[in-house]
Amino acid sequence: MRKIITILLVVFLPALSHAQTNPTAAVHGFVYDLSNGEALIGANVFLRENFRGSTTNLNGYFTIPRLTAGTYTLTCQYIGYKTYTQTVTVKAGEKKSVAIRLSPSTIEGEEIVITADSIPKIQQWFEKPVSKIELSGREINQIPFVAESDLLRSLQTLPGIVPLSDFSSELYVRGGTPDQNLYMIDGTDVYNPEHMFGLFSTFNTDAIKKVDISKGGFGAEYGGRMSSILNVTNLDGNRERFEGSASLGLLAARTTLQMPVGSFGSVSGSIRRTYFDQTIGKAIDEIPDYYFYDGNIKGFFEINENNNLTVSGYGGRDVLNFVFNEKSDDKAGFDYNWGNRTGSIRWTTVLNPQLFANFWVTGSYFGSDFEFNEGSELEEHNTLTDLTFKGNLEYYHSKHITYRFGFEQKNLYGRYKQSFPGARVDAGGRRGLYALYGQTNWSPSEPWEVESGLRYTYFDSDKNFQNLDPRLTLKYRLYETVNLKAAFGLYHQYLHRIPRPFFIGIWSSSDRYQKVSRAYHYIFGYQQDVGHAVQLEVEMYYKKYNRLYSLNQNMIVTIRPTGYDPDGTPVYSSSEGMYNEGSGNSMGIEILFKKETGAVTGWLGYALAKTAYRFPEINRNMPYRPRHDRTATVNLVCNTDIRNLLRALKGKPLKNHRSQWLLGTNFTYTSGQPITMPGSLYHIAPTPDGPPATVLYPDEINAARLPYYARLDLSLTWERRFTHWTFAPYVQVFNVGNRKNVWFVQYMEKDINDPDVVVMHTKTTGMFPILPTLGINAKF
Amino acid sequence: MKINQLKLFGAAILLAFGVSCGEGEVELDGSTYHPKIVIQGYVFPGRKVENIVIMRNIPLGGRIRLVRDSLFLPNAEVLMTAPPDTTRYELTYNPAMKSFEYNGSDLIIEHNRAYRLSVKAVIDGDSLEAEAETVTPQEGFGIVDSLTLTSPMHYRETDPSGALKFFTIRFTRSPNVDSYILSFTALDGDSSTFVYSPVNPFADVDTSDVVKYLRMFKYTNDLALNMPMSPGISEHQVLWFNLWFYGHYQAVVYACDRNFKDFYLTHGSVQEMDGNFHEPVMYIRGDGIGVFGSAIADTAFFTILK
Repeated sequence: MRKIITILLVVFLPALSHAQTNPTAAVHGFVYDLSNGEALIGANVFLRENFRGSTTNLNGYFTIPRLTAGTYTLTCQYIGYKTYTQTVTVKAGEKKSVAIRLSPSTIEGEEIVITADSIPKIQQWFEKPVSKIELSGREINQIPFVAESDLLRSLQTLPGIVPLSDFSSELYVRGGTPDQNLYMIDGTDVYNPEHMFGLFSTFNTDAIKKVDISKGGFGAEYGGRMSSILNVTNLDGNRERFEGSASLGLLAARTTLQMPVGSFGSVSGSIRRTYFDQTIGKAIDEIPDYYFYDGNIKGFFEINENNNLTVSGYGGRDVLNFVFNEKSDDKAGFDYNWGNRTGSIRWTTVLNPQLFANFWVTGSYFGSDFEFNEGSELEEHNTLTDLTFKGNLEYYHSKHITYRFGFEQKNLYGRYKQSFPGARVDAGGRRGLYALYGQTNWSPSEPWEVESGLRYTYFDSDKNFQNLDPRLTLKYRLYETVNLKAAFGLYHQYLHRIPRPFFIGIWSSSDRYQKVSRAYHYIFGYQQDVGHAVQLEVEMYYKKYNRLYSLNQNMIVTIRPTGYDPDGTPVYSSSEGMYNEGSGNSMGIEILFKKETGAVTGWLGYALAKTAYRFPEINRNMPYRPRHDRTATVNLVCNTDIRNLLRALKGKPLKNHRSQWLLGTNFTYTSGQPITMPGSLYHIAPTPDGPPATVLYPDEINAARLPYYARLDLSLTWERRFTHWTFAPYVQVFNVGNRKNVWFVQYMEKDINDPDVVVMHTKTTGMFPILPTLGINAKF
Repeated sequence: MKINQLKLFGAAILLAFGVSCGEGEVELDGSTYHPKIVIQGYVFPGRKVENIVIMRNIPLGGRIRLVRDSLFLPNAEVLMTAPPDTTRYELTYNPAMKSFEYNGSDLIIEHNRAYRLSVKAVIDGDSLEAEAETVTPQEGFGIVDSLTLTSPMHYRETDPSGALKFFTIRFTRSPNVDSYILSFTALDGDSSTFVYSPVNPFADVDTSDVVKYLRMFKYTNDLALNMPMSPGISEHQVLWFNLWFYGHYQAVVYACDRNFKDFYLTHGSVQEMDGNFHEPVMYIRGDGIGVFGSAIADTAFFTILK
């Protein structure tokens, strides 16, 4: 109890030290894009006379409280938009509401100017949380892709985030596994966000307004995951006019439409479907009958100047019908389909100019069905439902202090059923999660900022758990061009995903067999504006994991039935025996150079890292490196406006052209993936009556390394703007160098026609070869 | 952006292109080899100790001459004990069977009893030792012939309603056994009796494939896992996926101990779908791999008609 009181005092102490009489006028409101009415996130709003200001939050809201009566010059700046100024007069005690509409600086023929009095980027970086990176929908779509633009694959180009292979869009963030990441669309949790067996994610990039990913050290507002938070905000919709975009690529066709709803709202919707099952799939029997589709819809309604309502939904499905032998009349095979549905209602309200709140009701459903139609009983059904009520409140006490607090109540219901000859699985149940958090953002003096928070969670399972998670971030403005940051946090995780090859993973929760996983984050960061519009960010981190769970590859020998059917068929209902429990740590240093303006934009990242696990059942309880450990990673993402580059080389200012050529470059290098080599060969029969076979016995787990991975992708887009529409055909080449990056290794006997001689050789299977893609985008 | 910066950028792209060409290679060079004693031994209640095969493992890399005799370790010291009894039974090598056996008449394997195998051998100059223990199944297991459906059947025959019929083996359980391994052998299996497409819905193979993979098609296995350990009768449907030939089949059913079951389940599945390896489950201490297990065996026969 004493510990809890001490922690609470530390979190809320700033309020006591700043209990003073303050002026009570305020200026508050929302910042919108003039062209489409979208709320702008991260815009800087300040008063020139006293440089008091703030940055708009995820809803585009800002507030500048505790002002004295007077006349001010309100200024708003946001990259890609013209600076906005307005004279504002407030009387004593008046709360002035302002709606700011920024004009995009994309008028054809005009020069693109970055004004001298823009809020410095280094200041914006100081204000953002530690380890957080933000990307816009446009930045994501500019990164060269394979077949289809993909959010998660784009994030894999950032330092500290690695994929396992070309065939996976999953994120391994600073040594953590994909189930340690929380994925949200408009505040709704998404489980298993994958299409095409993990090749692509369920996020339609055309529907995205903004994405931010916190790679670690995230505040008390978020919990339930140990590694990262991925927050996707979709477009609200164009409040001024009808707008659309359409895209046709090799894999899928998609479209996004936006339109106003009267004068008080807007709606946007996106839909996407693959079509090769209807084209080349019809001509080639070997291509299985597979397709996926997904769609988003979002409505934004302004009830009055202080209240907004947002309703959003997502639905998507993957469908596979596979026949083993097309030539046979007996079409033995299987049907497998899976997908997500989410929905949310969010009420945004300004309770008073200093107190801003969001309240959500969100629902998320994941389901998959597998049936093997061979006549025998072999099927699987997997569902997970999440109904959540949550609220976040922000209280802007003064220019020095902001309080954030909130709650979350999550109701989970999972069911996993599988039946096959000789056994069946029937596991599931209800779980409840209750969380409260409080956080203070406090600036004790000019160069300092302190974010301290506490999150309390109660998890209701067949065994109950409760935990307190402290979070602390310190920021210090060393020089005008240099920031220092440090963060510490404790993170608990109650849900665990069982990864499965080919099949979608299954979620399980902490219970009497699985304790709550825990991670400590320690982060130190350095940020510098190095000039020429380039920012440098260096972060060092250390993460320590306890009660880490990995899938027991030999679980078939450890799982035990919980009961039997009347005919003696074993029934499995718990996760006992499915996991290995261990510990681990990750550490590393990440360096990021980022340039967001000019003819050439993008980033260069380098990461040096090490992750080690220790599980009693693996590698004879000796530490080993997991498969996603990568010692060194280099990422280069570069987007070049060729016409403006040529102008810049001639010393001319940049211009918005009616037509432009855009060159996209993406280069990735990672050191080799850990791999277990076969140690030796031996001859043995599987049963006493069977003939012997040659079998491999493995060496030390993950002690060897595959060759390095490297890949260069290029894209060329010609964008032509007409009066009412834009047309942009593109060509992309994935893996331009056609490097055969090793995916996995098979060890095989060479057929040399001598029964007394064995020649083992390796056969490597590579990841994607050179893959050109053509497509066309249109906006109207 | 100045010309020098542009040149630097161009050089970086060229370097990136150069690095992202080529091919990654993985070679086997034998550097990961550690010598081990390979044990393939089973004991059966009511029978003598025989067919305990002791071999060595082989380093990978290059051409491995598997002169079969060189794999066996006829000079190994092989002992058996039956704890808590301290009597040591020395097994001797039978060159004709290439395995170890006990020639005395005072060791007949009993039900529900622990037996320990100890092996010492020298491989490549290294003195190695391995030890394993098995607990034999209790009495009770046996195929119930009168209840087992093994009448001759056509390949993937259906009943009048169109549902697939299956050969079904019913057996009484042993009280301390939770798993039963089934081993199917196509006694007439060769390229002339193979069930080819389009009759076979699972694979479209030709004669040369059958000859090349004859062992894989001819000998198949299945498992009844985690059965109740109470007395009673269990049944197992033989999946058509396990039967690739017309003609006569032998089905041996083993009521197996934990060592046999876990070895069977894991020894051949050490490579994961992404190509990486994990360790199998083998209850052999020291420098040994393989299996020392026990089982009760029974046999059924059935025929697939053309």
